[in-house]
Order: sequence, then structure tokens, then C-alpha cells
Amino acid sequence: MKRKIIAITACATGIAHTYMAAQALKKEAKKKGYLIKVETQGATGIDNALTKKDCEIGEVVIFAVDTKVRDEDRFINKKILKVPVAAPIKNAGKVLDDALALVDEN
Amino acid sequence: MKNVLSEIKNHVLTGISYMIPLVIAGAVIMAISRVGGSIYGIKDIWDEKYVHSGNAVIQLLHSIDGFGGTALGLMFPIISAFIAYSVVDKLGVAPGLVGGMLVKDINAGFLGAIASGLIAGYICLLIKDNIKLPKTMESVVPVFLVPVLGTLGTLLLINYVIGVPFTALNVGLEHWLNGLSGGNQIIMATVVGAMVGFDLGGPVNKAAVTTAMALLTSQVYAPNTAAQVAIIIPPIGLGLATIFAKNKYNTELREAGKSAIIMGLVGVSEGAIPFAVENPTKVVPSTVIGSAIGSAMAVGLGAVNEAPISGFYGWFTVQSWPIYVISIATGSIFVALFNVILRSKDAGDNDNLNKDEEDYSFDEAEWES
Repeated sequence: MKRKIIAITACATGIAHTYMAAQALKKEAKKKGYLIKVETQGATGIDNALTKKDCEIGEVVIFAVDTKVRDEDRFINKKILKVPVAAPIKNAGKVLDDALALVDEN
Repeated sequence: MKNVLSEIKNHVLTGISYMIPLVIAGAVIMAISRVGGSIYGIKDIWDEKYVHSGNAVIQLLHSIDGFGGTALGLMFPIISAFIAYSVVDKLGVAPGLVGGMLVKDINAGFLGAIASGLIAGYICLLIKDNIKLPKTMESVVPVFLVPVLGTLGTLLLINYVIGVPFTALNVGLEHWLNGLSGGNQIIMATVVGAMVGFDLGGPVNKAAVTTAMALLTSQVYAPNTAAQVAIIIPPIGLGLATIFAKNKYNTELREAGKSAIIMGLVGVSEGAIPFAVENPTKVVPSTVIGSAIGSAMAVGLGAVNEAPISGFYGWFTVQSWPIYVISIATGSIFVALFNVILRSKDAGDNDNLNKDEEDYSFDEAEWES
């Protein structure tokens, strides 16, 4: 079964970094053969919102954010990797590995 | 400690992200009225005497200036409220708003508003986490104690502890910036430009840009002029580089170059990021120096941008706009040439065709299995 990851991206202006980070995560996940759903919290609002079901399915959550995550209580009891929004743009592979390492530890 | 700092940075950036639309709205509306006024040769359209002007258009322009002021007046309450919101969610909004209002009244400035938001947020968090009431009374905390004690505590701290030093700092900063003579003003512009060019829409850039925007409310225009010039130089410059040296960039970056020019023209630094990510050691120095050159030139030669708009549609409201545009061009061409000359030839491979059109969707059934 493929690994399943959910992620949220958000930056201060909400027009560029947010979407570039989302793109980078999806691209890298595809390359590594993982499934990922990314919710973007940008200037125009929330896109591709993660549903309650998505939150249950995802093994681990990545917050690639420079600002507050909206509706954070959806992820209660989840393992969360929090990184700056620039991190996946620079090295998405490392972000994905670090996130999965969080769940693989125990 | 590092964690606390990065947490605070996140809170402040959240506040800034909610404040930016307000600053844009207010300052642009104000600029419209001032440009309109200048058509009639009026330099002080905000003056009370135009309320009763015989000319309806002038009356309207005077009102519009007031509307812009109303929007800008909300700047400090909003940044303060949303910093507090970032710290403790909904509970922080009321104390944050009121704290920001007080900051505005005592003239404690942008830094005061940031402090107010953090104070409001952390006081509420403290109350929420530490006051334990019996189960039946639990709801008293969020509906009564946090709003009342949080707001009162915030106001007392601002008024009696941080108010005086922050007001002094703010007034001092305004005096200092207004009193800067030619040479020092150019140095200030160079620093602002370099900060803006450094991380292209990241925290250092936002710190410089928002401080410059906040100073507009104190009629200090030089930092804003420097910042607005510096914002658009990196994307335009790097876009030009892909045109000057087509064979040194692969297809993906050439496409990124086209969109960078467009993003630059509408005032978005982030268009330069794909280049900075791909080759930071060459691109970042070029954007820092290029933006600094453009900013220093614009401010040094006397261009004044009173609005927080960097896109081309704002260029013609700038005082001495030809200088302003030439400064942007100079900085951009510097960035372009710096990259064209230093970039190694072998970087232009073409194996990435159509990469952008890749499909990331996947089978919902597989996801839910």
C-alpha cells in the first residue's frame, strides 16, 4: 500500500509561496510513489480543503507554513511536521522523509 | 529559545498577512484622491477647507482621501488582533483589537502594534491555561474572564509599560527618517532595497516592506519608495536574463522567466523564487545588489512614491516618475547582466519539456483503501 500524507501550505502574502510549496510536495510525492493531498491556505481562501475523512486517512501531517494554520483542531492526535513554507520549495524530498520518519519512529 | 522566536515570527507574519489588504486599500484610495487633487493643482486635498469647496469633484476627492484614512486607521487594530488570534485563536481578537486601537491613539507605531498583539495573545493564553474553575463554571473563562481580564491587562501593559518607550521610539524613528539628509537617505534606501531583494517575499522582505508601508501613515515616504522599487527588480531582472541568454536556461526556467516578468510588472517579488531556488549562490547576491542599486538611485534622485504599489499601474502616480522607472530599469538590467555573465553555459538542458503540465491527481479509491 502506498504511503499517505496530508499537508497544508500557507505564507504571509498567500499568492506565491503557498502554491509553489504545494506543487513541490505533490511533485516529489509522485516521484517517490506516495499519495499526498495538499490544502492551500492562500490569500483567496482555502483550496482543496482536507475533509474529516482525509484527516483520518493521512498517516502524517505536514504544515509548511509561515502563518497560523486555520482549523488546526482537525489534526488533533495526529503527528505533525511543522516547517517553514520555503522548506519544500528548497527540498521537498527531505520534508517528506522527515514527516514519514515521525510515524516510523514508533 | 529558537522555537519561541520562530513561533513569534509566525504570529507576526499571520498578523501582517491580514493587515496587507487593508494597507493596500487605504493607501491606494488615498493616492487616487491625491493624484486627482494634483490635477486641480491642489497639494493638500486632506485639508478641511475642501469640505465646502464649490467644485463637486474636489469635494469628492477630499472625501475619498478621508475614506483612505479610515482604512489605514484600522491597520494597527487589525495587525494586533490577528497576531493575538494567531496565538490563542478567537479569544485573542477582542483584546488585540482594543490594544491596537490604544497603540494608534498614543502613537506607539507599528512596533507598538506588534507588541500589543503579542501581549494580548499571551495574556489570554496565560489566563486560559492557568485559571481552573469547577466543571459547572468552566464556560465563565472564555465568555467572561478572558475578554475582560485579557483586554484590561493588555491595555494596562500598553499604557503604563510599553507605551512610553514605544511612542518615543516611533516618534524618534519618524524624526530621524524625516531628518535624513541626502547621503544618509541613500544609505537607508540601500539597506531597505537590499533587505527586500534578499529573500524575495520571505520574512526579511516582509519586515522591510511592511515597516515602510506603516511609515506612510506618518507621511514618511522614502522607505516606501525604496521598498516598492526593490520589490519588482528581482523578477524583472531574472526574467530579462532568460531572454538575454536563452541558451543558458532550460525550458522550465525560460517559462518561469516569462511569468517572472509579468509578476514583476504587477509587483510580486516571488516570481524570482524559482531562480533563487535553482541557483541561490549567484541569484541572491544579484537580487540584493540590484534592488539596492535601484532603491538608492530612486530615492537619491528624488522620486517619491506615496502609495504601497510597486506594479506598473502605480508608476505614474509617483513624483518624478521617469526617474523612478529608470531606477527600476537600471536595477533590473544589473540583475540580468550579473546572472547572464556569471551563469555557466552548461545549465541549459532541455530535458524538462512539459514538466509543468504533469498531472498530480490520483485515484480517490486508492487514497481511501
